[in-house]
Amino acid sequence: MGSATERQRLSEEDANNLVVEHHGWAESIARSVARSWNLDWRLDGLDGAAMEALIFCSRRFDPSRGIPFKGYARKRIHEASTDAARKSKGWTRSSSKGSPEAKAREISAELYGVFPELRDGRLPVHESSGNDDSDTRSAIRELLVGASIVATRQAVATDPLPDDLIDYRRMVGVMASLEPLHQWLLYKVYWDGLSLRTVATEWDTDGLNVMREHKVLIAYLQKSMAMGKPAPLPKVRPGLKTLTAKFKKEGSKGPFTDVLRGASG
Amino acid sequence: MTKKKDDKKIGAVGSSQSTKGVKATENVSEVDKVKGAASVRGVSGVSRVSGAGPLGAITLEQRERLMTLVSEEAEKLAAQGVIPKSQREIVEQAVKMVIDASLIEGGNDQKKK
Repeated sequence: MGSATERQRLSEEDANNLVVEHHGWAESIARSVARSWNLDWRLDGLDGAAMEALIFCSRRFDPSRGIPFKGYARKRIHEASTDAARKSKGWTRSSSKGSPEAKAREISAELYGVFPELRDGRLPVHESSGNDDSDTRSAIRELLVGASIVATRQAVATDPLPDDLIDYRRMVGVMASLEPLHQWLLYKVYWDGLSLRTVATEWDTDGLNVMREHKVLIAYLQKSMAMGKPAPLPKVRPGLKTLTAKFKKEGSKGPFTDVLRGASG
Repeated sequence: MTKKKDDKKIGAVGSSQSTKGVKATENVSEVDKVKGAASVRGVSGVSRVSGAGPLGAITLEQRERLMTLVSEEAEKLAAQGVIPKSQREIVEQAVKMVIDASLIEGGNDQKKK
């Protein structure tokens, strides 16, 4: 019993070998991050951050779990690289804060919080429809709509133009028509900055439940925005119904409904 | 008369041979095994997944294609009014950035050695 839960660590020599074997791969992660955000992977310190994360992972790696080292370390190295990028001088130096490039960077950095599978080199595809092209397009739409929510929220939080306020009101209006549980899901992800997995953990439910529900909500938002009025409401999936009951018991109407009530009242 | 008898004999032999041919239809039962191969349709789905690695896996080789898809879908969503037109460029660029930063040189699982 005890041996099943005991963590096995590599010897220092084996851990060092992992670092030697994978340092080129870790650097390529740092270079990818720098390339996409138009930074210098060395000058902006992404190389050091990636290396530190690689060493950390080599010390923590537990081979008995059956996960390949790359599968274990990739997300952490990627996260270290993006964190270093956001703290770097290049992040603010190469483009003025209000420029479209700077805004796009900020949004893309937030998208990693919503869709952490991107750090593993995967689009948000949770189940195959049998058509790869369709799955890819659907995942890209999910990213685009997600990015649009982030963009609207960021625009209102900083220095909103009248158009931004209209877009915000429109989006919040559509969200406010949702079930309280669905409103909370969107709020926690896009306003509180939690990942879908973290929301699932917080709600003590399976990650796939939340991911599938999020996809349904994005499709709902897409449809409603295209129609100019709320589309037929999505039903709460059985795996989340206990939470619906909980929100109802608490008398919660949902954060977006509250925002609209506050604005009109 | 003799000729008629011979004709009958030949006719009888011919029909019994064709009956042997019916035995060959037992091979149809082997066609049932081919029906079993129809369940291989399920395997074709698996091969699709295995070709792309884990669900949703993307590689640097697909970069151009992915960037084109982002532009196409952004255009559609902006035309539908899902993405405000004022945001379209920024949102499209953000998604391109986040995908690009996920694409690693050397692929996902390739080992150097």
